[in-house]
Amino acid sequence: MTDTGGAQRWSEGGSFLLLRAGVVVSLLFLLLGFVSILWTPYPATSLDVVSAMQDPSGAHWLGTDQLGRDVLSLMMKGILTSFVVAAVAAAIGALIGVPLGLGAALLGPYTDLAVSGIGAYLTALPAFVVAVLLAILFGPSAATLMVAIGIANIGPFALSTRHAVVTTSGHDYVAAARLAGATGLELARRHMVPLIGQLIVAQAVAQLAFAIIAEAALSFVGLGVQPPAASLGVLLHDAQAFSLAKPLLVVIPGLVILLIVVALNLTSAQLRWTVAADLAPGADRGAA
Amino acid sequence: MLRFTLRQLAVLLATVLITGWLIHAVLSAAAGAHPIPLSFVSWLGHILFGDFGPSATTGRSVGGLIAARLGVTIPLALISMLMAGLIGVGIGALAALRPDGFGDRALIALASIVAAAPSFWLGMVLVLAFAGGLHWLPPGGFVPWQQGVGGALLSLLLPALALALPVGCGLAVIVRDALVAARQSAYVLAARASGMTEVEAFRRDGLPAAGLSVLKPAVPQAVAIVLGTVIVENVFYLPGLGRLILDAVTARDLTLVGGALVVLVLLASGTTFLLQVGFAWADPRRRQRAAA
Repeated sequence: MTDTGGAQRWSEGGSFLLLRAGVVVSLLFLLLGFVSILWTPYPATSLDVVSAMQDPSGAHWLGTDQLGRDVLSLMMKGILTSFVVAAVAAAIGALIGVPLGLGAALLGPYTDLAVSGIGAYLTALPAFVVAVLLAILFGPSAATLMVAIGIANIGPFALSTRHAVVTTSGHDYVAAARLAGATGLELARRHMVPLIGQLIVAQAVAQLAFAIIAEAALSFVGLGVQPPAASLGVLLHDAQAFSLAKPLLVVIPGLVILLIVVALNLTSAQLRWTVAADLAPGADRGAA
Repeated sequence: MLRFTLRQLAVLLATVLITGWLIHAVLSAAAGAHPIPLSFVSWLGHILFGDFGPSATTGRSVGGLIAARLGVTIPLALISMLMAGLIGVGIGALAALRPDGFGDRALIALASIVAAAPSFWLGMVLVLAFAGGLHWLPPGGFVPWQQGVGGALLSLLLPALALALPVGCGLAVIVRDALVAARQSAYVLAARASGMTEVEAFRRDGLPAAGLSVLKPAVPQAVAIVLGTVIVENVFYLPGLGRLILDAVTARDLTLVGGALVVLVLLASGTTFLLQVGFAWADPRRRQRAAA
């Protein structure tokens, strides 16, 4: 989504502090999601109407919702669902988009033209439209949502992979390696694959952030994960009717989305920035 | 310029044709009880001339239903774009006043965080703050234009702000970088060397260049606003295009879904087309190249 260009300025010392912060926060939330497979403070589906709509307390750290479910337990389940949807969507995008991008960069001008056209089209095709069409065909579900967001991910993966290969192979240091006698596979493996790989990983992290938001938005309007399954979008959907009575039900899932997305954006921006810094030694940040 | 416009027009047509075909194919496959009777060519032909056919559930004209909803969605998107522009230029310019100063870093960090927030969630939070806590603004619903422009605008204010905040903050980072880059550029330095003051040089040579470099990344941001309306409308119970599509999906009203989706795609790619051409025209270098 939006490039957090502002963040990269602070890593000039090269300590990768922000990169580490982004990775650590993302992984913490991921861990919280994984823990929910084995354990949640309360069973996430157990209804307890007597203790509905409670404020945070020692027994329920984040309170309970309108059905008396423990909000912390729901959040943990929801984070897992959102991450799984986002990860599958990113995988769909990468599995189709990266080969397309490689083909565009390596297979000559006609392939390039075709792939660039397809990539630009898919980037412009709204995930909302695809999600509506899939919901009409199969009924809305987590699966249709993964495919809809996955299709939206193909274009960015294809275009960024193509861009990464073209800029890297055109760079002076590749020419220098060639002059030094490196050829073919050796040249690609030692000098190009690491940087291109890092750029693709950066793109994947950015698409993960995009997918977390897209999952929330589309599940919120009923085009994705369906209750009683919990996801960050479903939790916000459920909270809307009670938002004025219980603002926390709205605020908490949104803050979690915000934290995850900021952490992922930070990670992605830093990964991209270190590559740019590698490619342009001595250049100021304006070139990044 | 003309060639550029024609090429953009071709992109617009291709996008609408391909997506229209996709929509028609899917709906035809899904049509059981209410098959879409027309082939793709005549379906799209009818739609382009405003004839969407009758709604499968209500029997009313789909074109009329969509037109009524556009009266909400299009003003919402326009107001929101205006707000996003103001937020972006305001925060961006403020941050660029002292590059790498404390204010710059704080503003850009804040902007980067807000830019990551889902607009519909910001909408819910705005409702909590302004309608729940402060009782300043209506929490949702829409006062029709016929009952007074003021009431209608007021009910669009919060949703427009919710859409504009993340986009405007994303824009602010771009604006800030463009202003700083222009300020440190070789051409502003050259202008200063010719005897201008820093402010004169920046105003004459830096500002136009910075402005032009911001326009291109602003295009996808504007499209994000157009597409964001369909989600944000649901937070504020606004009777816009998004609500229409979602209700039609629930009712499995396929003619309505098809027509409304095509209009949404037209809105999104039409926004891209208009801004691309308008922004290209705003660049005197490209205008002159076309004249020569």
